[in-house]
Amino acid sequence: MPLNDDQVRAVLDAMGRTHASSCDEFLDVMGQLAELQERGDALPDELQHALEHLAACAGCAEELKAVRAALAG
Amino acid sequence: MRAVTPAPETNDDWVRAVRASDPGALEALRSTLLRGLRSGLSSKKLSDDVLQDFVQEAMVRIAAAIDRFRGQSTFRAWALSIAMRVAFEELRRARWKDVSLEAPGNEALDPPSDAPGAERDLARAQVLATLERAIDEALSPRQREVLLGELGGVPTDELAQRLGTNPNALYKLSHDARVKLKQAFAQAGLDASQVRWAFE
Repeated sequence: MPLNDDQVRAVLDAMGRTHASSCDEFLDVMGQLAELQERGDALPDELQHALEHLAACAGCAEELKAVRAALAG
Repeated sequence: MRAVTPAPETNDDWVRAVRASDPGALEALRSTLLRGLRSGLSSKKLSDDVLQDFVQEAMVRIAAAIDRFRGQSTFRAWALSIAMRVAFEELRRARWKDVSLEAPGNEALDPPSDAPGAERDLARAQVLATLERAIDEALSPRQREVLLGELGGVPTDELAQRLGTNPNALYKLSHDARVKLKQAFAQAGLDASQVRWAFE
């Protein structure tokens, strides 16, 4: 199964960001994270797993961005 | 004439009102979600009919999930998160319904573009061989299918639907696949710094 360079890098990046939480768990804290980020507040330690999830999940990152826009709008 | 109920103000008020299906509160929530979706999804140029459908589904999910709200954000932010999840699930499903999992855009390995030298060429070849062997031999068929789907850019919701599973189970498959790939690299004696250097 041939892979191109971008695909190899994508897999290697994802391997480096392997994390534990799920999209449903992220949804539970997405509102909290969006509000904290919109206010520019420091994030509590318990949201660390959410940030790790965000770094590896483009879908949740896209949704968070939209929630922030909605809160700001 | 029915008295107009003011929109709830505190999180506790919202939770009570949603649990009680208070008509005034539900109408206020509907308006809040619609405004939020209009703002958050403005770049998508969606019609109000489409947004109303998202709101309707979100109202159902919010009512079903009300016990999961822990009050660590405003109720508005929590409800908007659910509405946005609904909207993006639908948008991704619509966008990707015609993309085949069998053709995730794989092309032959790109030639090195920066004339990296023999040592780096060798390292790249070793990383690539390890990765491809691990994908072929270490992953289960479903893990492989998930990985290929992700490489093809197929969204989680669509991938889950095609594999007859849900996003959380898919996430677990993807996670376990990455763990297996990491194990394969470790067994091949390749550490993270070597791998990064090879594909910088």
